[in-house]
Amino acid sequence: MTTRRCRLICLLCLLACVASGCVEIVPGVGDSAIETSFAFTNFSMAQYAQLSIRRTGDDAFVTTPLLPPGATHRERFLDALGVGCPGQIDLRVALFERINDEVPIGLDDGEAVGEVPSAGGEFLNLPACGSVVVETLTIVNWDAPVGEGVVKIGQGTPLERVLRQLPDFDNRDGVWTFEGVDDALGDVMPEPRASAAQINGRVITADGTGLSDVGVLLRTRFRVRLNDEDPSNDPDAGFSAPIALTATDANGAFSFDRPAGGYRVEVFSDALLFRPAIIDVESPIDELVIIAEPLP
Amino acid sequence: MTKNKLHALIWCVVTGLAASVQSCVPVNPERDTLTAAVAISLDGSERTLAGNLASLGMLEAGQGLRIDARGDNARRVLLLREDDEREGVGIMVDGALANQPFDTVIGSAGRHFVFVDYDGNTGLFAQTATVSASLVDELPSRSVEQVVRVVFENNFLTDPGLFDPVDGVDADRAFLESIESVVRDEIVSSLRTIFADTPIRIISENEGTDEPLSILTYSPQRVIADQNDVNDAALPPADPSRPECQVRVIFGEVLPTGTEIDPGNRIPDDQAVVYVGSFQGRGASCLSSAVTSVRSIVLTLSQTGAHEIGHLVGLYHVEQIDLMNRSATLAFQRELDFARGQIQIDRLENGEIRSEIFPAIVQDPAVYFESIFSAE
Repeated sequence: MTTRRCRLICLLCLLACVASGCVEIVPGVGDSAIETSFAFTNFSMAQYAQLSIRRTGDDAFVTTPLLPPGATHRERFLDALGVGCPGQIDLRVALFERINDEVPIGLDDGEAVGEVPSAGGEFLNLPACGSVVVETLTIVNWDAPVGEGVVKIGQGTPLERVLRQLPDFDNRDGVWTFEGVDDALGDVMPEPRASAAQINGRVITADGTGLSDVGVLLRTRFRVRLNDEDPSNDPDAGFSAPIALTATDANGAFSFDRPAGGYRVEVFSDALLFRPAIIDVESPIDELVIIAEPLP
Repeated sequence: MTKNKLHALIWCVVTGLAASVQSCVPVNPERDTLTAAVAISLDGSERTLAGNLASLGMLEAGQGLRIDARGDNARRVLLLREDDEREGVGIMVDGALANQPFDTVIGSAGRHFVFVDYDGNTGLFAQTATVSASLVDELPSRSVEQVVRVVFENNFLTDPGLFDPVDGVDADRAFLESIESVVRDEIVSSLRTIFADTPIRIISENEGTDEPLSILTYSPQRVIADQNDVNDAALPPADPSRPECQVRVIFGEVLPTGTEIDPGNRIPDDQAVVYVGSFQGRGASCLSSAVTSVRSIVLTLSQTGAHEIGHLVGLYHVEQIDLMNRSATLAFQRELDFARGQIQIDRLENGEIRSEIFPAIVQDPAVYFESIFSAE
């Protein structure tokens, strides 16, 4: 085939791809040339979670740090697996119970968890970049009873539609579920906890003056089900009970040390109004500015 | 907070964190490796290049190089060095506008390549250029840093700025006016944080410098995109169920309009603008995540400003979630980085904006800044 004819065919392929809206390179199991990432998020209310991941066919798994509720671990596939976008992946998700579960997480020094998983599942040959390329492959551990795991993968992307065609995802929410601990995870231990990333903020007046002694509390994001519009089964998603509490200093500044992830920050005072009093954030946050004014 | 606004807020968090971002951009399969590059010798002789890539072979650190790429449809020229992380991939280390020679200094030893970027309407068959390269004894001087002055036009938050022209009331305008000073200071502070470990120095309106400086202006305007605009304008429709909100606006651009990028940071006193009014919400059905809090305002406007500064020093769009993603500064309500990514080029073809990823060309701002700025 001449170069020109080859180019013309390539051009036609591209035009067809564009017309279809979203474009894939080559369907199948092969790796993609695009460099993408994965994000593992723990939206459980109380359990800690870690993810082990490898490219299908490779020997060793790479394991994320142990994520407290609300936390997210983001990493490029190139850094984790040595490949820009793996065609298929194997996953292991292990969940661990807290030891001091009567103490709010943010006040639990050391945040100890059990030495063995309360639940753990393995999924082999999961379609990834060989089927659909997504910039960030999300793997989200949802809230579930102790001893069970519910994991949502690729939510809101074409990959979700691909996965829903698999028997393991053929359920109402298109999630991967498991009970107990898969034999493959029998000797899994909890990894070191994810390192803290600060949530910094200031409560100030409109002219920039810091306000001291304003209460600030922190909640973590959770999710139970996909549909958040059905009031008969609430809550499907939301924010936990407070996990940490602090007050602003003389400059109006406050700070929380929690792993990067999804949180709700709330400020409160008997004498002030806030714009706004509640802010949902993805940390780390360099500076969160909250404007306050005296109650009329 | 109204229920709608609360839902909008939750939606932002959920989509920003829990939902994946789909790669909706075509990949050019002919451009996913450097192996197809045409070899050219460093003797100054012209070679005809049919396509984008030419190989310069091995070059040593400290060598001076002159590159001249010309063609009716050629618009930019990039110098690439073979990537350390992946085979067949080149990492951007310098660049310039096409059709004029430019000199560069090789920063690190390795195989080097020339990439020619053509005008958007150029069909594949018209992508031809003549390229020559030669070693030079006299090394070009490079600046130690790029100074960027951040300027705020009067009433940048309210005229119209972020004031909602449908549902806004006097109290909303008064509030925006009251926080203008805070927002201004926070944006400058945020930009300084973003560029803290780079050769880009952010200064405020009140600070002076003897060095040539770029200017980033925050304008209160809301700018509707022209059908032919391919700059930082056209977000793909976010919600087709609300067509009244599907207005293509320009969030920011390098000036003069159409400049897009200064490859290699060859123009030390260029300008860019962020159109604050383009972020405004319009009534109950067209809410804007940019205005839910001071934090959102600062985050959105500072990250958009950082994006435009990236273009001022020669950074391209990338497909990865990053400050140089073409939609990231509005679509993601979290702090983003300047990180490694594969460049994405937007073209206007037959009236349609088409973005294309070049998998073989990686932009890593840390490597690029180290290459185009002098260490001393």
